[in-house]
Amino acid sequence: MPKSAKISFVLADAQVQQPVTKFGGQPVWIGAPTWPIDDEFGEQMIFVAQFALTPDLFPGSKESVVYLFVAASEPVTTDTTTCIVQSAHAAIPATCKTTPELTGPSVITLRDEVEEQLEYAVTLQTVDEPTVALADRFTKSELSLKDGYQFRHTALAGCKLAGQPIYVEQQQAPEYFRNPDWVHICQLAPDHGYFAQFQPNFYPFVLELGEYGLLNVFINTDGTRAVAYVQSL
Amino acid sequence: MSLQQHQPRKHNPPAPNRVTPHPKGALQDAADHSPAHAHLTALQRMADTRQLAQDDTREDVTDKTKSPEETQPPDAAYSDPTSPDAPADLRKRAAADKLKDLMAGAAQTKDSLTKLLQVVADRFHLSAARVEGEGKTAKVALYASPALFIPLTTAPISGQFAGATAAGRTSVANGDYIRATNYDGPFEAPGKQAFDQIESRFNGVPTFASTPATVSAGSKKKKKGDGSALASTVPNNPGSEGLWTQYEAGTYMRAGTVEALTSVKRGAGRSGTGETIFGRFGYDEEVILSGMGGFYNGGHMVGDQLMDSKKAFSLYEDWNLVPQVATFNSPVYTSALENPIVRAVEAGAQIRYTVRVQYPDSTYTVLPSVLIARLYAATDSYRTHVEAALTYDPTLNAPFTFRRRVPGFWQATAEVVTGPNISSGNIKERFTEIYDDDATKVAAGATYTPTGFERVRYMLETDDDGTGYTVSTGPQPVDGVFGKSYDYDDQAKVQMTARQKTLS
Repeated sequence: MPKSAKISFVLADAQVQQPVTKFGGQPVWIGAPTWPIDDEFGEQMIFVAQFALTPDLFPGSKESVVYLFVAASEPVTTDTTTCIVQSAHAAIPATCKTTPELTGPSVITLRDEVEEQLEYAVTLQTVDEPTVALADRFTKSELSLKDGYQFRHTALAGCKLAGQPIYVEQQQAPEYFRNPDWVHICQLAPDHGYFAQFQPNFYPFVLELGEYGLLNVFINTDGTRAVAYVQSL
Repeated sequence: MSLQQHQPRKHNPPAPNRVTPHPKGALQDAADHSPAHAHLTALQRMADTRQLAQDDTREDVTDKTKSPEETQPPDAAYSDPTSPDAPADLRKRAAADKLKDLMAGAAQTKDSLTKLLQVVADRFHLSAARVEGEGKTAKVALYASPALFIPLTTAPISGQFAGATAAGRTSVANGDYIRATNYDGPFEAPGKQAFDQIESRFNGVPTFASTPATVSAGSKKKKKGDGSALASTVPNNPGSEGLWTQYEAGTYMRAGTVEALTSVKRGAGRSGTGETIFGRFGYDEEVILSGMGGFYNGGHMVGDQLMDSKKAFSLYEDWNLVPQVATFNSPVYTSALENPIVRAVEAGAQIRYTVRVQYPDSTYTVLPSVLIARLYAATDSYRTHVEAALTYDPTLNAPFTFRRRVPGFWQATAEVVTGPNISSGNIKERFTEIYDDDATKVAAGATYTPTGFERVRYMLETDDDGTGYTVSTGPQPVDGVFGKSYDYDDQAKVQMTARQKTLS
């Protein structure tokens, strides 16, 4: 059975300084800082999250950390995301323009309409997912424009690390979803529904993925390249 | 910006289309939109090609909304009807002549005629060439002149929230506004139109579900059905259809022109919901016309990030939303216009922003026999029953009519009213959205039949001093960077003109 870990976001009361999975704040580099530069405006991209690829969920992952960034442009699309991979055992060259800046912009959280730079640790709950073929993980009837998603396979839904990604675009899925050379790292998706006051109900920070958009992060089996894919409708 | 590339020439801004409302107003009767027809049987016997030409020379009714000189040069400017720039009337007449030649007086099967129609459609850049109707009522229809339907209205709609003035919103105090000045509707969703028409036509109709192939069309000896009259599509096929909007009960306006003035940007987080249904309109229009969907998502004409959309203006109104090729929506439209406008507003500018779209036509038609095959697999029992009913009674195959939802022409103009000018970042080359510095290729009246991966063709014009637009040369190679890109810097006016793929 595929194993995943459901994510619960926990507001950090102090800066997270270990290379563990977290969202917001500043990246904890395990190698030399390599902050990506946005192709459009030549600015430092916005740090969203870092994912620690621990052996329990990612066997053979070489103690890597994947750092997820987005451009300031909204909505976020696949084209405006970038992932940096670092490993404790090898130097992995970045595949985009970077700057050696240690710090930079990160995702903000809106609290009472005030923008705050908050940081979220995670608690993880391991789940044994039933194996479900990609094409059967989602059908059109599971999305209502009034009520959001009502996933049949609830074990696959929600924000999680590893496991089987849900694909909702109703087209030929990109190779990341189909090709075993890519390993699923993270899914940002609701357990059910989607919006709460026009904001996604499944993460606490501001990340505009488009209406009913989902985000998935993958890494190749070599551990040398990671990508984020935004599913948009 | 170091990558700015401009052509040295300047030209005056193109004159806006002078729109003369049709006497009936914006909403044309469906009957007005059916093409002139030539009887298929007559076509097969026809000795004088002129007869077909005369029968079949009208353009879409939407041509009535413009003067001829606004879209096409006079006929005398062309001698080659195979040129995509030749007038639609000339291309249709030539296509009719060529079709007659190809048929060579021989009787045609439906398949062979379909192939010949494709030949003339390709050669003369027609938007469609097809047989409509059945038996003695069968006709050949030749369509041209795309992207010309303009929704019209006489009553602008404001998107300002009630109470925004009283609340003293900065944006409102600055004179910001958003309003629709052209639109029509509201209309039902395409999927709903499809199912309503199928059900209205076929519910209760007798069928030959068991052995439909044994029923010869036009048999004088009427046979009765198998006793299983067609029931509703809906309870028989939940979730099995290729459409998204067949159960959508709401009605939605069709966008034409939206005008905005903005000096306050939205800020973090979205300000509303509602664009996805418009992407589904596009998806369903694709399915209805081709059997497959996936090009479009829901796009804003004026993006909600450009304005004070959380506190003062609603940017999720149906008159501000249209099906848009997904990769045109983002990153092309965002990079070329929306991000630069947001940054200019953030720097203190007030921007006048006008976006208008046009459609290939107001309505399009699809034969029930074709539609049912696009919506259901060959083994689907409901499709089998409908096809049997059509075999039994070919008169049931009169075309269904749908409201066009996907625009084929898009023009957005941003003009600085006060404050700093507009500068873009690097706008990257894409394979699905092709930059073109030739205005005639993106004009509303030009034929647009993209092939391969192309979904959109667009150009960008800028004006830094109010003396007229300069056309960008578009993406250029950049040292050390994969792919090409371009940008513009410190411009008082920026205009994007684009053609978007539509189906017919």
